Amino acid sequence: MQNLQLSLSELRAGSLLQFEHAGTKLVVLRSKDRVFAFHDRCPHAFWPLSQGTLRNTVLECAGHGWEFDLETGRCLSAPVYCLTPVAVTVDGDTVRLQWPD
Amino acid sequence: MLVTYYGQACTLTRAGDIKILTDPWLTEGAYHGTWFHTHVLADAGVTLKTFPKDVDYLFLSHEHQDHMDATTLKHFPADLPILICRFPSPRFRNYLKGLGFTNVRELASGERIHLGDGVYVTVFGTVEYTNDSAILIEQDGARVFNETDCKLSYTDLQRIGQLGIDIGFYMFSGANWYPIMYDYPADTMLEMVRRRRKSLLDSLVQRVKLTNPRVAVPAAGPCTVLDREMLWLNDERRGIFIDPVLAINALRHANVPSEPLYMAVTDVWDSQAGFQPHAPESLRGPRQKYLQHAASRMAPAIAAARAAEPPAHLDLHAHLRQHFNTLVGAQSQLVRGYINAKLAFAITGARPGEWTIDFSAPGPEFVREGILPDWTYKIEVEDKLISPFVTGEEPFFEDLMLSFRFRCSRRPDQFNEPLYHFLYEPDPERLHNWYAKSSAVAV
Repeated sequence: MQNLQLSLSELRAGSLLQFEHAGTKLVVLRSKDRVFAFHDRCPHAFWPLSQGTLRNTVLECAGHGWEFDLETGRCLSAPVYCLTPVAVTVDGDTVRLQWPD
Repeated sequence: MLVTYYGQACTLTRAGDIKILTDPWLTEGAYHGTWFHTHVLADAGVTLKTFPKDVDYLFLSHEHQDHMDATTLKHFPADLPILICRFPSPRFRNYLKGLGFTNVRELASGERIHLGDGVYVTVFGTVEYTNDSAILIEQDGARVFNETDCKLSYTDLQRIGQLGIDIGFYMFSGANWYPIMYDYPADTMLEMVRRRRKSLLDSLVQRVKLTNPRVAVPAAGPCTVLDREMLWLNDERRGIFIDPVLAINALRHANVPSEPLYMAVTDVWDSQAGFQPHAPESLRGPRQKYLQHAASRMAPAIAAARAAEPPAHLDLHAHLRQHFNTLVGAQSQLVRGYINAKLAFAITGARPGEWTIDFSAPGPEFVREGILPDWTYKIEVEDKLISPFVTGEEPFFEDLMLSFRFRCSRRPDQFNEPLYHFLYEPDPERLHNWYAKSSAVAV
């Protein structure tokens, strides 16, 4: 497993940031009350999701406007497409990300 | 290099002594009479009859009629070299061979070939299931990129941008039936159209930024409808077909480093001298005024074409049943499971009928008479329009859908992409491979 630790204060509400760790690019998103993380790659045409826009818990990819529900990772209009999730735990100001090698 | 624009994705690139014609659609009234150019080609003096035949290569991005209608292709010699992308199935190549072309050359996505005289061509294939491709033409350090209406991967676009593009031609408009042919309430539809148009223009900005050409031309995508009963499709609030001037404005508003350039039919871009306007000034005036005038002028031709449409096959119902039973029955369980639809057809006209194709049925009978109460996708269409598809006279189902002469509904209101892929190209092996690859993704 790969692990990455961030500070919650780095993540502004409504923000989406790219982090790179061990050759893997991740996008970390903070909605009003949750932190989400995924591999930073849209499953449609592989645009970096970190270039997209966040509206509540919906992420819109900058490439072609595909929208994803952060709660499920699924594309809203084509649920067959799914983001690759990264496990997130928040403990005080510490955000821990974990994903398989 | 000199590039002359002929509407939609059609460009004629002269590089040294070599002339490469990309995506020629030089007629009007594609897709069962619905599609016209942004400006009728004849208004710029362009007709198929007088169009020069002495090009050296054709590049055809995909099989859509607004990129290569059969009438236009037959204008050119049968032994003219045609470059296409090597797609996962041979359907496009076989279609061209069926039209009589004997010199079709398939290029792998990303493959760069030398055509002579220092001219290089690279073809890039889409990441989507549908067949589509883009082209990069290079000579002496000058580069012309024509995206056609192909959705390339981020990495391909990035790679193209890193090369340094002089002029890029980009898709900027919607070119399909969503959401405009669906039965949404009026206010919902207006909002969906607004969001769709915004999304399309945002995407254009992103792709132009990524490829970063010196000059960016909004080119492929929009349909212009001149049938008086369908003129609402051109409406900025109700339709997804975007005026190229609005695309230019979006690029300017986004402050892209590239120079946005409006090119009308016959306008020329020269890698040395830059833009050279050739189109009549009337093609640069207000769009809605032009459309009303063009619709009036084309009305007799549209009416005549409509009157000449052949009727549906006498055995339409038997053909429909056989067509879908055969195609659905040929799919793997995996693919049928992904599709998992009840596709209903409400057919009007002289041979009306109602049918539902049930992908969840055990087979071999998948087609049932009547509209099942739990249908998931419904298409209401005239018999004569679906007839050539189910009889095999027309190979491309999208030719029907892009006519915009139908209505549809879906339950739930979600894009069933596997169903779309099935209708697009129901090749069992290709579909199975595509979804076997995606099987890590839950349905």
